[in-house]
Amino acid sequence: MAKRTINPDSDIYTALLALACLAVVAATVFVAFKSMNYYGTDAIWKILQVR
Amino acid sequence: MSILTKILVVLLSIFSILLCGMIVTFVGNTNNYKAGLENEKHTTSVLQADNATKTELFNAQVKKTEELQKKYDTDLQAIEGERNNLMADLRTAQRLAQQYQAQSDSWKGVLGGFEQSVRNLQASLSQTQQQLDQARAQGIKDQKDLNQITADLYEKIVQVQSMEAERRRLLEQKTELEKQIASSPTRTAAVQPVTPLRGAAVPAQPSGAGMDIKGLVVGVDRNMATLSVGSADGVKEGTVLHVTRGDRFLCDVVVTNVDINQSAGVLELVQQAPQSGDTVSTQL
Repeated sequence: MAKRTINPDSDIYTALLALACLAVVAATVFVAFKSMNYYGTDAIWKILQVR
Repeated sequence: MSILTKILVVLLSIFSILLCGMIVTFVGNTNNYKAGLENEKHTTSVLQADNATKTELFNAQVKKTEELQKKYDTDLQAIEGERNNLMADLRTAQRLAQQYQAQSDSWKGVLGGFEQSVRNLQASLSQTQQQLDQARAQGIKDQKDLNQITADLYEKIVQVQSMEAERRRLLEQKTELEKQIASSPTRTAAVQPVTPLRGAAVPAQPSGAGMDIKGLVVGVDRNMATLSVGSADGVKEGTVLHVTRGDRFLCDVVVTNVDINQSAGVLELVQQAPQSGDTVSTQL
C-alpha cells in the first residue's frame, strides 16, 4: 500500500481549524466562567432547564 | 484537499475567531445585572425605610402643624376679639377726644371773652384808681383847706370874743366914768374896770395847719386806731392825721378821743390796714 502523501499545507489548515476550535472553546469557557461569576451555578442549570 | 475546502477552512477559522472575539468582548463588557438588581433592591429597601421614616416624620409634623394651627387659630380668634375691643376703645377714645376738643374750643372762646373782660376791667380799674387818686388828692387838699378855714374861723372867733370882752370892758369903764363925773365933778378917781384887761388880741395858733404833729400808731382795733400823741402834742378832736409806712400812704385817722399823751380815732380812706409802729403826722 502506497504511503499516502500528505500535503504540508494540510497541517496549516488543520492548525487553523484547531485554532478556531480553541477560540470557540476559550470563548465558551470565558462566557461560562463569567456567567457563574455573575449569576451563580444555579442560574446556568436554570437556563438549560428552561431550554 | 480541494481549494474550496481550504477556503472554507480559512473562512471558518476567521469567522470563528472574530465571533469568539466579539462574544468575549460582549460578555466582558456586559454588566452584572444581578448585582445591580441586588443593589437596586437594597437601595429600594433603604429608600422605603427612609420613606417610612420620612412619612412618620411627615405625619408627626402634620399633627404638630395641625395642633399649632388649632392653637394659632385660637390665638388668632382671641387676638381678633381683643382687636375688636381695642377698635371699640379707639372709637370711644376718638369720640371723647372730639368732645374734649369741642369743649376745649368752647372754653378757649370763653377764656378769650374772659381775658377781654379782664382787660376791660383792668383798664376800668386803672381808670378808677386814677380817679380815686385824684379824688384822694383833692380830698386831702380840701381837708387842708378845711383845716385852714377852721383855724381861721377859730382865730376870728377868738378875735370876736376878745373884741366883745374889750367892748364890755369899755362899756363898764364908760359907765364908771359917767358915775364918777356925776358924783364929783371936780375930782376924778382912777377908773378900775370890773373885767380885767386881757391884753391885745393875738391870732390863735392854727390847729393843724402850720404845726406838724408826728407820732406812731400804738394799736389797731378794726376801724379804730390808738396814737402815741395827745393833747400835750397839740392833738384835738377832729384832727386828721395821715398814717404812712415809709413813703406809702396807708390811711387817715380822724381823732375822736384825746388824752394827754395819747389819742384815738377812726380810720378813713383806708388803702392798707395800718399796724403798730406806723408813722402818723398831720402833714404828708
